[in-house]
Amino acid sequence: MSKLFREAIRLEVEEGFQHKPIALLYKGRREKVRETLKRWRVVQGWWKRPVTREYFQLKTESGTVCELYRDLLTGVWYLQRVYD
Amino acid sequence: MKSEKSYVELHCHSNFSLLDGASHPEDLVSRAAELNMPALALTDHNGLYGAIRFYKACLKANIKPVIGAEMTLENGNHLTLLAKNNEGYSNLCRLITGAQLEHRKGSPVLNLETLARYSTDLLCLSGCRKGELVSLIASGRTEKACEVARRYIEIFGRENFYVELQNSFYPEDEHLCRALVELAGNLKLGYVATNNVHYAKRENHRLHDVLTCIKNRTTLDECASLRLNSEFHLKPYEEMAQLFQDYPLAISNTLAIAGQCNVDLDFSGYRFPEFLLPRGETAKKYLARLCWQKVHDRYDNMDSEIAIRINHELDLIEKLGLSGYFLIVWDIMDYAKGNGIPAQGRGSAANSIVAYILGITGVDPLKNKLFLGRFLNEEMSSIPDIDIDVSTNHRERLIQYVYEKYGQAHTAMVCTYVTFQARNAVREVGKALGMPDSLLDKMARSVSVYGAKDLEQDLAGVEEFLPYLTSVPWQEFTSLCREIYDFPRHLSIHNGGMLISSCPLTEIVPLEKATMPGRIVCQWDKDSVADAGLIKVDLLGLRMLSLIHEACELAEAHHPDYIGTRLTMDSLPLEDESVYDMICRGDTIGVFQVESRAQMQTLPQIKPRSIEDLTIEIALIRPGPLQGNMVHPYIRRRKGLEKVTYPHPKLKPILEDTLGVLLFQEQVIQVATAIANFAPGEADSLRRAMSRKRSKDAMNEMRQKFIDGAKKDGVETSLAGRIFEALEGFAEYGFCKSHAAGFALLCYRSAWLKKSYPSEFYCALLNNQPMGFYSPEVIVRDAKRHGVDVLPADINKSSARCTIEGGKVRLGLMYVREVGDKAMSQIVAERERAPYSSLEDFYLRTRLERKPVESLILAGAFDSSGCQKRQLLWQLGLLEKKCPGELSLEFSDIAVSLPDFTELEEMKVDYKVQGLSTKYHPMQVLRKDISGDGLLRSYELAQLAPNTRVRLAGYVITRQRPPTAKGFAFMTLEDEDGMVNVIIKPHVYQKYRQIFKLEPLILVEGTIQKRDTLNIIAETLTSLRDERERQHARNDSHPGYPD
Repeated sequence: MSKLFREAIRLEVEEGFQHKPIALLYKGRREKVRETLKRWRVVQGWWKRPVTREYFQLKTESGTVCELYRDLLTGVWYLQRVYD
Repeated sequence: MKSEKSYVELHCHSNFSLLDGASHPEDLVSRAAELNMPALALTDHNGLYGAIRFYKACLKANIKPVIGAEMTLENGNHLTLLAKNNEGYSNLCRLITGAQLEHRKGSPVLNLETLARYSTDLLCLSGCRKGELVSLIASGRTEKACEVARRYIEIFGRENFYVELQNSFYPEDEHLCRALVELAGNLKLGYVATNNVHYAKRENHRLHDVLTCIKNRTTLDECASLRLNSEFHLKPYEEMAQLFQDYPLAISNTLAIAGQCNVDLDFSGYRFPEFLLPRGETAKKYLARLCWQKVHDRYDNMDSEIAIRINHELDLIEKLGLSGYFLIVWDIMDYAKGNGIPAQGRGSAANSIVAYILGITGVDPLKNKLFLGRFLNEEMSSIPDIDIDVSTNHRERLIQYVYEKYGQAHTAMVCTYVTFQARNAVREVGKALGMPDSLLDKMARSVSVYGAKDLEQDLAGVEEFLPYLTSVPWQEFTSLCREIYDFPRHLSIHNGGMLISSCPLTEIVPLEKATMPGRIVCQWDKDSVADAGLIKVDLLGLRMLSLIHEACELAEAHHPDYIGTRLTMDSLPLEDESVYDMICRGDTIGVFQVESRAQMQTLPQIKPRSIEDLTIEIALIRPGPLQGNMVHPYIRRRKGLEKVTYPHPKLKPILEDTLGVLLFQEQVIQVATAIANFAPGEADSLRRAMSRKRSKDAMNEMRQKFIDGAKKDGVETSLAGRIFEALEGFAEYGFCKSHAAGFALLCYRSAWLKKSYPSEFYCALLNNQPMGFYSPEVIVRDAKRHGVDVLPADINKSSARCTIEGGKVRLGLMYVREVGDKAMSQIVAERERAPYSSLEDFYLRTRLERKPVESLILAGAFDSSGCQKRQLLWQLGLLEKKCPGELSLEFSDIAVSLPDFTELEEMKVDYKVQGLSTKYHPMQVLRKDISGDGLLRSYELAQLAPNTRVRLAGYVITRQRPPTAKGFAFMTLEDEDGMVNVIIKPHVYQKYRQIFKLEPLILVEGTIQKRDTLNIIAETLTSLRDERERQHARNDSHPGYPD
């Protein structure tokens, strides 16, 4: 099971080479990224509401698996989903 | 290959992966060059459509071309194939041909047996995410994937099969790559990275999405098959190396693979088959023998000039290796002649005396002073095509002859690509963006540019479209239309190009099914065929030849005094003054090449009185001379209003016949030879360089060469420059004289028929539509103005085609919509047993469906029964309820009295069911509805003085705004009495553009201009519909106004 946030939550992320996430700041806690499980890009809706994002499915050091994305137009990070 | 720090894209689709590639091959190559790729592959879906364009672009950019294709297998999976060498290339052609011909058109699939049979010298990559390996691994069936890989190893050999890795930033890609590399390791296979490229640059992904929608006939909002992102573009080495950092071999292998691929696409050695010669003959000797045998058929008195020209040409033909080609074309023409198929050579071939003597062309090059160098010269870099015009109705027979003679394996039709132009771009791109159909339809009909380049500016000129200009989708829309311009949309069959080769064609180019059952086309268009060094024979359907043939046959059948002209059409005397009188009046609707509005305007000024004059007339009213401002000087000189001068005395003999004005392509070559000492081949290269695809650099080079050459001969630099500019301004669209001369003959013959046998002429003209400038309704009215009555279709008298009936033309059933070929044959066959006595008799005997019978009733085909149309429709309704075999029972209570159609209603249904009315002119009916307030009729204009203000309403039969007319627009209005030309100045056009473009009936206000012809200079245009509504409204608001 996972929890999908209807409105993705803005997130602070420490970035490494080519914006790869190294650590997340969520609810005041810093969680280091242990492993990137998946990475993909979405470029859609350009004709009405452009969506340009790079997604990461990550496992943090505490074992949490989550999905976050970086808006490629603004550079802002959002948390999209957290897995149980 | 270049240094190790390079990457070569080996999986790349151009826009020849129809509707699945968003870049021209040239744009892909130029992007690859920017990215320093040492090589690039082209792997379009199941085809090599773009291979030649790609190959040429690569050579130009100094990039190694790798030729391949992405094949669809029977199980729907994809496989990437690359040709290692020419043998591999031939195998690729065979595989594509097999996939295309053995399955339904448009759904090519390759079976494994064929793949195994033709796998030599091909490299195979395992394919994209639609490849079998990836699909199996993605579904967790690794064992099965290994099995499949082993199958390909068996087919191609381990060293020729590579596992293809792609990372397009899809969620599973990294995992898939890992699994594929592991599989490759287990099977000791090489692996290679590709990016499944579908466009050159990232920003092209929008267009790719739009193309996907067009392909799936849906909108962007609703399309379920759009790609997830915009990663399918050509990527630089650094990016690819980063993506595949864990698998460096995947990158270096791209270079290794490209290094193995060496294909040469010059097929000039297979140009055309050996002509089957009598024993002991060579092509050269046989051609010469034919010439000397036949020369007396063309020339009564042989003289040295003729002999010298023949010998010179024969030598040249042999030197260029074209003797066999001439024999092939002669043989086709000989067959045509022997089988009564009207055909004649067109274009520059008519410059050749050999072609003339062999009966390939009909124009005497000596008498017409035709210059050979335009057709053949020693330095030719490409082979001249000999094009043959053949009667459209007979063309198929000639094509079948060529198929039989050279065999199906060596013969195919050349294809053509239907491309996106402004109008279809507007419709299809707009539809994908979800714009309303009604708006798109209006926009498409309003577009006045052909290409989509200037679309935005063009549409901005229409007030009602302005609100859209500022919105975001609109901006996307116009830029996408611009981008999609000239993209191939789908494949079609070329009008007549036949490719004949000495080796089986499938070794050179893939073949596929055409829409026409049983017809095969090759995957290259005429340009690719020529660029591959091959030669085609054009058998172009020309309806005018069908018309002349049919009119002659009709004249022979209906005129006992007919002079047997059909047999002597080739030698018809060309001096009938009354024919020229008619032409000089501009009375030329239906006459070949001189019927356009512009031609009609100039004929009374130029007054052609000979075939030579007609040759000039035909060449004069064309974009080249118009653009080069040559038309008015010629007309002024012809009228004696301007002195004939020559820029240089050397040009006098060249330009004398055309009064010092440059008119023909041949003259460009002759001028370059005379002024700048160009060799004939160089001069012809100059003419070619000036063609549509001219390059600025090449032109500058030529210009310098021209000026230097002229200088050596003592011609001043400034004068040489001016002459060069004149050549440049003209050559782009000019006609060649030989072509114009051939057309002039047809022009005279058609005019002669119109003058001498008008009923037969109009009958044949109506039977050979569509052709020329005018719609059948205009032709019917022109016939009437010439005293030829056109009768409506009649179930007891009409055949399928139009016929002659007591000197009148009877409309054929083919003009009645909804009546198909089968129904027509049924009607005629049943009638031959006994005429139809009534609607009931007709209905019960033919048992046609309601629609065609209704159309026949509305078209007046039952009028001779004496019943009104509404009554007949009522009867039809009753008949439909009746079962076959039931007795005819008449009940008086169901016989009702119905009012017949009004004139307006009758005219409307005439147009609805047959696109014309034999009874009414729209103005004749509508005039009663509009106030006569100063409204004139066309016949009244002639009596009025110039500059008189007039109001006139008419039906628009032509509307044009030629790019050469500096913003002026023209239309021809027709009322019940005749036609009038209307000239619309640019500012008036801007104001009334939508009315000009869209309204069928227009009321024009303006002033009379009288020169050699009468024109109205328009000041306002009003839609007649609006005018009628306005008047009705006015009448309604004045109850006392008389009806």
